[in-house]
Amino acid sequence: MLTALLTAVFKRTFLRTVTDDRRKIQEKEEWMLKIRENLSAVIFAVCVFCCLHVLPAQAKEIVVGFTGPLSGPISEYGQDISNGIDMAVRELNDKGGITVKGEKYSFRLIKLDDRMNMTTAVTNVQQMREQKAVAMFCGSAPAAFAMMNVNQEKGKEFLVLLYSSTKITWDNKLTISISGPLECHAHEYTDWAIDHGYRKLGIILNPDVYGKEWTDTVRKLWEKKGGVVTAVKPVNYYREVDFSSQITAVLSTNPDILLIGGPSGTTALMIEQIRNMGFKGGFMIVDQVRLENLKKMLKGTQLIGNAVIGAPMTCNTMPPMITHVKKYKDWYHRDPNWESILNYMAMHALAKAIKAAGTAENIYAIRDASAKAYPTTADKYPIEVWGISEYGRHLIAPTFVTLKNGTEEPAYGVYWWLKDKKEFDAMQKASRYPLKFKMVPLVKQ
Amino acid sequence: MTVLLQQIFNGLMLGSTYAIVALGLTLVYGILHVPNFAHGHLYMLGAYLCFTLMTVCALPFWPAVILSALALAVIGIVIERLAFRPLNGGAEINSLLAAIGVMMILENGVIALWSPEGQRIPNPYPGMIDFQGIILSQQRLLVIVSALVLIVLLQMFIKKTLLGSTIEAVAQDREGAALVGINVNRVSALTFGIAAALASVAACLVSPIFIISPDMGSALGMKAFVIVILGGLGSIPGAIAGGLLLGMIEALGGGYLSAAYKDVYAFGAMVVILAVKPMGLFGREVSER
Repeated sequence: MLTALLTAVFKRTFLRTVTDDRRKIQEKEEWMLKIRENLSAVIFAVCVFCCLHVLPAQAKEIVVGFTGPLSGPISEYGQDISNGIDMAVRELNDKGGITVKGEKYSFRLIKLDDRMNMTTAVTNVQQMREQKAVAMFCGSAPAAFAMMNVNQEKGKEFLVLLYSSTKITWDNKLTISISGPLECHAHEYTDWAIDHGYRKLGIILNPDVYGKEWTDTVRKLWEKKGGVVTAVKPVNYYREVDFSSQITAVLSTNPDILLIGGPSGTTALMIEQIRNMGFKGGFMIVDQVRLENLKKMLKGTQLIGNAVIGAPMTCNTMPPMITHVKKYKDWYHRDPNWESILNYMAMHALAKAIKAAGTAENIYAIRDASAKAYPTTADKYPIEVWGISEYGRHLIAPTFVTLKNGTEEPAYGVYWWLKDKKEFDAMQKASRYPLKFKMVPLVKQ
Repeated sequence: MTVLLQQIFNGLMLGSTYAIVALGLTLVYGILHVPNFAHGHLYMLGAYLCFTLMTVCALPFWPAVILSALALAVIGIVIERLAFRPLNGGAEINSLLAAIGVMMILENGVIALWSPEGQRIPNPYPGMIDFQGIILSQQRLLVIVSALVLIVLLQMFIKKTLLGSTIEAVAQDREGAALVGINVNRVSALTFGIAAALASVAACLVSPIFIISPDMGSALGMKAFVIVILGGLGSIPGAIAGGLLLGMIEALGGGYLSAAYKDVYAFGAMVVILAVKPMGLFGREVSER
């Protein structure tokens, strides 16, 4: 009995049979398989644990979002807007953020590319909402409409900061239009044209909301002031580069002045092609176009001839503007323009509004406090904003420049929210711009 | 009347550009039996190369055109070797996907190497000629004349030289051509090179009039595809006729009717023509291989 036991022990301890080996290998394999099957679950659990407990507590953040064309043919436009917001965000964070009711907040900007495609814009809006954006910037009215569909949903509100001059036709309590109104430009352009003897207008604009509004507004004013519209031929400034057939058609109606404009690059092309076809008349160039870009592409202003166009923002030669231009150039290696600066100011104003409202969550309170950031005068700030109109538009005076035979004349500004001479005189006293001003009372802007 | 003639001149110029690009596309189709969706992007690359040669290397216009045509020919040969030859004999959808892949690489490569903004090539012939009330810009006239010269040269090359006839042979019957001793691979590569060079020349001629941007190729590639179908896949006279026809439709439609529906006229014409002649204007009945 003992020998049997001893033999068994000896066998177990010192000998290995093939079956033993096979069994050991099989057990090992089963064990490895079990680990592999559950490894992903184990890693996941570890990660979740880490995220919840191990990561350092983060400072509170205020998120703002931007959706616009950051690539594609009009990427410059989207880049300019997002650079402006980015500059303000960086400046605010460099100063340590803002303190709201004793808590420190830093800012974070989400930039999403939508290539001017509205379906993508809607997706971007959803994404930014999930990240609890407090405000969203955009560069086109259609994207803003997409935002306005959802920005008043209870519990998920956000401010819409729209950079577009189109007339405010919406009834959204949480939208601010941050550029001057198109109608102000239209008044000024038609006045200039009639004063200079032009009577026959041809219109070549983009067939979108913006182009249509320009066409309708100018047409009404033009006919009221005694002019006649000889031709209206919309052209896609964003996709086309050959306008010869439309230009031929419009010129065959013998206009003496043309209303044109879209993105600056194709507008320069349009001007060149129009002049090449022998047109000697004047131009009214819409507010989307940047004179600096036209000058670059056309190598000067000679080809533009007689025209009226929005002035470059550097018509303000005060020190705060000069400092801003230099800083922007250092940071972004390009020149700032109205796109960047208006959004820059709007972002800073937002920060001030949040601080004044004492909350980073109650969007209605922030909107109510938005006007507290103003007025800003040119001796301390790069541009002057005087407040927010009752319809939700920044009170900014658009500036203009006229060209006479290719030579630029001095820039001037136009106030559109004043009602009488008394208010005008008071405004002149308060303004620090080194420019002449006029007044055009507009309603419902 | 002058307005009509002016519009016809505009249409001729547009049509000539389309014709040259479509020619390249139809040549490649004859060899590959798959439409090369990246053709428009080769056109775009040619324009960018010309731009760099003229601005950075300060070359005059014609040397820049010739150099970028040569460069595009080489690039075309490389693309054929890397993207299309390995897929020969396989399902046609694979070559289609490869073409789309090449398209994306070219577009994003250009955006990365240059910037996504539009650029301008200085116009070497900025003058105007006033011919009885019709304004003819010298650069546009040059486009029409060059297109004519290129088309004639290409026809002579294909019909009168031995090399040209090998291209025709491979397009007609690949196996048969191989059987009679033609190096089918070399001929494919050469055809691709010629097609790419043609696209590049068209781009260089037209770019000083317009703006070049990374997406200028996609719209044109689509239109070239339409033209090639309109004219008959693989048919050279078809590509020329289709290109000119499309240019005219766009110019006259855009000028007399609404520019907003320009694409509608073009694609609408394609639908109508294909309904009447499914093989295209000049297409022949091709028996299934």
